[in-house]
Amino acid sequence: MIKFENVTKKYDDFTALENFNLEIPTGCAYGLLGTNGAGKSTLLRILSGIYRTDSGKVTIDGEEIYDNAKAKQRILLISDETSQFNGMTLLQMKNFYKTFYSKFSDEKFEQLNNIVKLPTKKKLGGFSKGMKRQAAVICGISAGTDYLFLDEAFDGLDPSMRSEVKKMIIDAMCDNDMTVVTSSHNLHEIEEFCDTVGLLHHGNMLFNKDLGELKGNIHKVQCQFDKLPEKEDFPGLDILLIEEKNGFTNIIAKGSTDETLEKIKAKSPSVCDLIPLSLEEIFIYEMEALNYDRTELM
Amino acid sequence: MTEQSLCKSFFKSYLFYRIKQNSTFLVLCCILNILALPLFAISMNSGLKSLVTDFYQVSKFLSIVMIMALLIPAVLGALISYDFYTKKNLSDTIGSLPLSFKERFWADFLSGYITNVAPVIPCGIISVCILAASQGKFKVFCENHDAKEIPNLAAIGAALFFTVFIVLTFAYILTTVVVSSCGKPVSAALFTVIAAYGLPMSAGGIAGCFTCAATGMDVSSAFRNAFAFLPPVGLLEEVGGVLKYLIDLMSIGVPEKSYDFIVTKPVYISAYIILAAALIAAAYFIGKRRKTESTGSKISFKPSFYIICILSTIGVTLTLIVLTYHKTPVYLLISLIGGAVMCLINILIYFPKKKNILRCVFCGAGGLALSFAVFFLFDKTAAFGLRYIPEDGSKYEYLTADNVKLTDKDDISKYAKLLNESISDLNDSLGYNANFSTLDLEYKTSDGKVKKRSYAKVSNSDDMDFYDFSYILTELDSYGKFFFENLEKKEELNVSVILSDISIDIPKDKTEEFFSTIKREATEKYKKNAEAYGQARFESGGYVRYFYIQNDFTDTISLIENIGNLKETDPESTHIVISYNNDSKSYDSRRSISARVPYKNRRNENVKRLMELLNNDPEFKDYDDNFRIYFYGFSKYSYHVPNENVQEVIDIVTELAIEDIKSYDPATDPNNINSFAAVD
Repeated sequence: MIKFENVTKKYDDFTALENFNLEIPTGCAYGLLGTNGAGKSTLLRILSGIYRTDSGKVTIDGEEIYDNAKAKQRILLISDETSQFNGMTLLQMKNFYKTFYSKFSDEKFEQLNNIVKLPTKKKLGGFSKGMKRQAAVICGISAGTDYLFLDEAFDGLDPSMRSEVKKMIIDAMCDNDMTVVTSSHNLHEIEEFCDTVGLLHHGNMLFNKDLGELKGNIHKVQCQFDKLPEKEDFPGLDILLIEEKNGFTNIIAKGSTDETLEKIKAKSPSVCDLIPLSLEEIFIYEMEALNYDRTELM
Repeated sequence: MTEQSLCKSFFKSYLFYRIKQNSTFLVLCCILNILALPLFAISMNSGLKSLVTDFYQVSKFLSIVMIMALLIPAVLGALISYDFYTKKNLSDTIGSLPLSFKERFWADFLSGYITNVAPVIPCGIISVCILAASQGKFKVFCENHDAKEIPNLAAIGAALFFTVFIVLTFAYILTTVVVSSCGKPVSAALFTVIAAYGLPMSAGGIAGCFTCAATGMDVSSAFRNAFAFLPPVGLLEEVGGVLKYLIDLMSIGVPEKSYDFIVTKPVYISAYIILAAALIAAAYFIGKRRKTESTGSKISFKPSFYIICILSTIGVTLTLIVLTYHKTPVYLLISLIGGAVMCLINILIYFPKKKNILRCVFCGAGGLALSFAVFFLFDKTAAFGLRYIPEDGSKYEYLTADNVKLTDKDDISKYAKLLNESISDLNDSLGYNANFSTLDLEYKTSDGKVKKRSYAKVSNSDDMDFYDFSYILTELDSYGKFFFENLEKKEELNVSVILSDISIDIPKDKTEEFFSTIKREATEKYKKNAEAYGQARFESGGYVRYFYIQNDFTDTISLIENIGNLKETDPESTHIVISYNNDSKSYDSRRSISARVPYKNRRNENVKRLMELLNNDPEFKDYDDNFRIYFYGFSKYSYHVPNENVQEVIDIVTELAIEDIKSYDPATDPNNINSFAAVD
């Protein structure tokens, strides 16, 4: 389990994280959301033992990470920047990771490279951005660490490759009970890949929820009434929004599916369909409920 | 595999990874070293010298190549070895590796050291082997064919390489300290240069100010000694010195004195080990404390910058004080401006945010304040009392001053009291007069310690208080024993006498008369101790002793007057010296005489007449007769003497010189003195 306890991190006058608390259970695929400068990369670098916190404690399975070789043996960060490997071939990059990670699997590496089919003897400087990402991901997965941290790892990948890479990571998670923390400002990536999401804003966690729970707890019901209803017409229902669109009334409400549908149907709509909500929509409504402007956050 | 062995193996893995990463640089360093050092050795080998056509050009070229080849890689090497301190993407990758800071630090340090400094060791060994082989198999002669064979070239080479090795080691370590504090390669390189100079300059400045406060002496030698000790930049001078010595060996032959290598002295070796350990500890501390996220910014560990800022300001300020203290009354202003400029350079390199500029200014101001505080502390406390010698005669075994050895406890006590009294305002007395002679003291204390001291003394100065240390000696009852013995020894030698500024040889036929006269008068004067004499300086070959001739040695003075009459002396056999401010110039087959004229006598008849005889043109111009008279006061003037006036000018200056000898008594008449000298 990853645990942040009252962590504060400052860059001169700028506070990246302030009294930050978070727990990420083992085996979880955690998605970190937030705008540029929200503190996502800082959080991942603290997690990887690169940055030292100004105060507070960060542990992985009870062990502090910074300057702890033993703990760092179990984690690997795939950074958003890969130019440091430009002078290496994929084979050399593999050997680099193999040198420092005792569980590195050549077999796994071969297996993954058979999927992405990257040239092993060509310098990475000659690779496209997407290819470099693939190279980093297959090396990262092959390292066999318990924790894999991905900083904007899917940037630059085309949709099919993105899907392949995601599949690789999900397989690795299943095989090794790997915990993955990935940062992104793209909700779709997180939605497809993560089971828990957190939204960082100005160094604070605004939002930290299980995606299934999140999705299961907020509903969009498309109905047709003779007259546009008011929130007060549905007592006991936590309605976030009622709007009329294309002759239909859309009701966004929090609560269990059955209870929500039951209370709406009690008003005898001519049409009543449950429409799946995208993560983006869920975020919009949740944030609006917390009185945040979504444009500031995403 | 245990966890401990896992960490250990990663240290090795990382070390080899870093060495492998720097392998290109390692090859480059080896090539440069092979080019620089062994070739230098080959060039010194006369047996192989036929390979090169112009030895001197090749030597100079190789010297430059050698220094460039060695020093630049050491600095660049450290910058490259710690590239993750200056490249953000690398800092993430390296920082996330499963290594503790300790493992990473030592692996980085050692890999850089192995890559950049270690190649000098095998290359040095090769060079020394070449030199050793040359010594046995070829005759190694210097360029001068008449000179002796150069001895023990391999030992000199070995000391040279050891010096080079220390220079490189410190260049590398110092760069490591600085690069740990910087986030950009350019700022790291610039601050390395500033730190490399700042450290030895500060040490030199402190040593110089201390020496100045303790002795009033010209402090440049103290400054240089402290500066030259500190590597890398200071010790680089030592490398230059050795190279010059080697080239001298080849060109002019074996000098009388062999080169005194700093690095072969155990005390310096110990100091270097301590200094290296301190710098490595500083690099470790900074590396541990620095924030990884500051990679990419100019300064990643601000305290280091503030230290460099203060250190370099102190270095420049104290160095300027040392260089200008005895030369100009505005030495404080010059030092202040220099220190401020250094501080400004630091700020410009750093170019920080507004609030940091204020801190930098505070650091610069602090550096300046500290420099002046150090200077005034030393000056006002007379170097914590070290200026003075113990006044209790019982604490001495002997004391030697101006080559006079005193053993009588009371005399030593009396001398020490008079000396301490006269040097209480030593630097004020010296003023802005950089030209002074020195009083050399040596004494042995009752606990067996031998100490050597030198003090500055003004020999000629206008409008300055003047106190002749040597006069103190003549006040002592036991003064003379040492000279008496020497006087006896000198009777058989050719003798010249230097009286104040006049030097004349005593003709052989007059020597006996001269010695018997001075002996008789000295014996009469010092009845209490019949072996005592006044001051005169007897000079013959390399054997020089100083004596005082007292005013009441009338017969001796009269004898000197006769001998010193230049009109009657054969120019070919007269060795003439103009002595001014301890600067003696010899003129073969020429004659000169000089005299000091007390300030109060400036307007006497002789001086007035002398001025009338001179051409009223103080400028140096070409005159056919080439006869000039020089006036020394605050500055030097030269007047042309018309041909028709030459003889009269000589007569007057001679008369003035004789008057000078007769009347001069520094103890009772410490008046300001001008010095005149006439030369033909």
